[in-house]
Amino acid sequence: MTSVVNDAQVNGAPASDGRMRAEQEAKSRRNERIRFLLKKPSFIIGSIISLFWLACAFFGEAIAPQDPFVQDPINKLKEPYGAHWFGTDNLGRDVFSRVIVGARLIVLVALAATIISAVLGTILGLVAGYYKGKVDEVIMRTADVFMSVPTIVLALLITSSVSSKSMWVVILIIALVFTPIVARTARASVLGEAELDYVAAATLRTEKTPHILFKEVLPNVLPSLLVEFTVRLGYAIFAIATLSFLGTGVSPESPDWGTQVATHRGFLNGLNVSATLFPALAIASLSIGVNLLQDALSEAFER
Amino acid sequence: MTSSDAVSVTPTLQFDHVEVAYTVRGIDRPVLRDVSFSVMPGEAYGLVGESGCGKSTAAYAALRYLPRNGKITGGQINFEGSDLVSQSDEAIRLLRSKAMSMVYQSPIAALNPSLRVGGQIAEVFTIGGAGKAEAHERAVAALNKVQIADVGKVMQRYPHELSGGMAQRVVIAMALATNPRLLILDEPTTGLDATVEAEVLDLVRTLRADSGTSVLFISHNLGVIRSMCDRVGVLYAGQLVEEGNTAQILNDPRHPYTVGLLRCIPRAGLRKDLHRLDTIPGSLPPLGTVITGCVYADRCSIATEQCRTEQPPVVQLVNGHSSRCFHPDLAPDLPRNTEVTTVEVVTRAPDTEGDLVTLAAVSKTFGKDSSTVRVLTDIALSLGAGETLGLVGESGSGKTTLAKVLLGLTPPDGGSIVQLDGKALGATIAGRSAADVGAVQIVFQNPDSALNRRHAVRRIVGRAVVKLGGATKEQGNAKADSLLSEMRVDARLHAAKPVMLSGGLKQRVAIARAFAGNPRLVVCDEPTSALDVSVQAAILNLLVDLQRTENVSYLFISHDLGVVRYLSDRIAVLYLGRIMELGPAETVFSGPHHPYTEALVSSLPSIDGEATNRVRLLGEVPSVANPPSGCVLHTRCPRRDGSGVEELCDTVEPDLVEVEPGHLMRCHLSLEQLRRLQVAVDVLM
Repeated sequence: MTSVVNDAQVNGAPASDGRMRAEQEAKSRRNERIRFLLKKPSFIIGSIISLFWLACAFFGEAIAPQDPFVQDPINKLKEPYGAHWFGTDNLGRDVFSRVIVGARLIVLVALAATIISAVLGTILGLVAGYYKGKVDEVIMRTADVFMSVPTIVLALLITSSVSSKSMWVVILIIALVFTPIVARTARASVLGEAELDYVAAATLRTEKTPHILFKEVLPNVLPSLLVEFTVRLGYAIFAIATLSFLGTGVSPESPDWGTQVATHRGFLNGLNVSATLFPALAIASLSIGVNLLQDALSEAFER
Repeated sequence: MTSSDAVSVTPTLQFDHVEVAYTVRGIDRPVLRDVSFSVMPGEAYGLVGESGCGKSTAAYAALRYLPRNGKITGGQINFEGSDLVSQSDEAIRLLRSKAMSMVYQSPIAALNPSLRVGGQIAEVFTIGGAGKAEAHERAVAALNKVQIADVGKVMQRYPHELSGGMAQRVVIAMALATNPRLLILDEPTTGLDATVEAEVLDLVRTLRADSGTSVLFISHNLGVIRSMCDRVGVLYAGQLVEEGNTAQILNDPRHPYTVGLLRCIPRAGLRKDLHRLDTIPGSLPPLGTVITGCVYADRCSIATEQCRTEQPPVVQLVNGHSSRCFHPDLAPDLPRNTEVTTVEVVTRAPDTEGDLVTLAAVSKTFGKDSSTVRVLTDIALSLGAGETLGLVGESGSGKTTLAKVLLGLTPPDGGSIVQLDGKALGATIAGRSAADVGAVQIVFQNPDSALNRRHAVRRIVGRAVVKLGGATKEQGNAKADSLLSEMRVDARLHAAKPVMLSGGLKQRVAIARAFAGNPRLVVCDEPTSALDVSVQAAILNLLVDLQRTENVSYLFISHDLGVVRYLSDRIAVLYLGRIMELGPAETVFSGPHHPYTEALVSSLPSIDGEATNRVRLLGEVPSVANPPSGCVLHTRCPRRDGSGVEELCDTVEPDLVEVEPGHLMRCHLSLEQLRRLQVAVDVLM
């Protein structure tokens, strides 16, 4: 199925066409994953949703049709109509604009937390999986301790004990909780990888351990880490939305989706639906978008 | 297919112009092209060919068990006269459960890892309608039939607790449980030690003689085919290019492919310094290529214009021997691709100046305190510059550990002496200078594992030049290019990743890397065992050439005794971490040899079909953790009984002593005694 270059030229056989065929094949192999992804509806839909919210996160004010902070008490709690596509909230602010601008907090916090946990988790996992033995035991048992505490409970515990309600607290908490999970994935892939002879070959040319870990082993475990990254991103979004719904982490006036849902759910009994519905839909859509991406990526890389 | 002499007998299995195709990306790609052969009742029919030629596809087609994208696109497959292609799935299922069965290459993978062995065998009978107690009883009987010693215990074990040979016996027991009329064996001994292979083949031979089962035997190993089969078909690119009885095919091949294949094999009597192996130019056409002429025309040195445009007919020769070639009469005199000999005699007298590598009192113990395993015991060896030392022994004998000690990947026990040029080598890589690390390098068995699949070939070799030679990156890459070209890896491929290369080319890259640091000693750890014979020949030729130009020494580890014999100047035989015999290659092979070596040599299936004295080792390899008292071989020794020194064998470990100049042996029996015993058997056979 996969034609590869062979010993043809070694024996001076008519190999030129065989070689060209192999080169073409190799080129197409490089693009095979990309072509696979571009044909996958889940990848396309997931990308569109995720990119849309990413754009909102960075350019929210420019995209939003109105100022999300301007209050209009006369027109409060309106269902969608011409001037306000998603209606207005309890202070008469435009829900559509608040949803757009509200993407910033959740997207940036989720990305930052996931990136930190991915970097730390990868390093810990590489070290644990490569050295094995005592190093592995210490790292992984500590990780087990962290993983045994439910994320939300730990987060509530910490946010209620620190006074500052900054984004960084939430970022660090989520990073702290996710790091051992990433580490576990990284370690599992490294365990198999470190047994391969190319690692021994690297030590046989006097490579130092960091070079072996990051230049030799890491590129080979990157696909599974990329998949893990998107999985974590999905969970981070969920965790942040939950935390802000529970009222921890961010200040109440910021146009944040979880906070919006929490504030307006009291009006659901007949007064107003859209001020709760649209932020909730935003959370769901971002979560679904990232999960679709993750689905497509894991299929592309783990086939 | 002229059914000349056996008109009235219905073949057990008959392929009649069978075509099989795999659908890949919506396109049907032919894998079997117009294949016709038949297996008569009680006959053993061998299918040989290199990987990718369609051997296994033929086997699966015979069971109608093709992968989902495979289909039979033409012809008929008849089992005892009835066509399999048109039968219902249910009828096929019934046939598979009663009348035909298959033994796969990897026995461990063929067994369910989470079920006990006994239950898995009994299942064969419960499916056939037997009650629980009856099934158990019959399972015991089935295991007895395959000569398993402690049946009760084996039934209670899980597959991972069995050795490879034992697991293959269990699989064979399952396959034979229903007394099938056709048994298909797909490379049943590939991956097993030579001694175990010999036992498994003996077993299949005995069972076949008892039951009269027809056998379709698939193998790439012509020696195994010779010892097992009555008739042979040679497959190439999905086409049966030659067919005949075993002796005809192997002694008087009449298709250029078969002729070329046989010349690639390092067989007894060939030596690296006298006989260069022939190679086959080019490679198998990729799967599904449309071929108008002869499938082999591109690689055939006697191909004519007619061969490229017209399908050659199946030409009938004498006695059912047929060849699909326009020129079967020219095939035996096929011109060689390499010169016959290139002699500047390489066999070296042991270097008087002093040895390149000296090992003395080298031991290696794993674990600590109460649970120690000693995998190497008191190894003493030396290697001259430009010399090849072959290292043989069953798996678990410590070959790889010895290699790792030399390389500095595993530190030996305290007191071990490892010297290069008379100076001590550090126990670990960290304790060695870059020059010393570069001086002792390795070519690994499996190039897929040995080359980082994310790195370009040039980088893999260049980085070694940089680190071991202190070069800059540019210099490293330049040297890498010249090294790779020297190994005949085309310049266009230097920027390629390993995936794009064939197995043979990958191994060339691995060799280039080993030579990056100007090595004095290169450990070759089964460097050709993952390759087809025609590729193996090219790699062995390359190693011989490099040795001549670079004056490098090799420690050549292999379970393929033919290859070891071809390449080695001296041979060391390892058993349970001890050197049992050490001497010049021809002396070790021709005997009188150590009883263990004798068993190894006699387990080697020979292509030439000469009578081998069939000495077998008894039982399984004892655990290294708990080696037998006295001579470690005494539990399995074929020469212990009746030697007159049994007592001594069981209690006192013999020393490694020089029995004749340059020939060392660890045995209580004298050389004379061994000579008498071994000659006696030769005469008897």
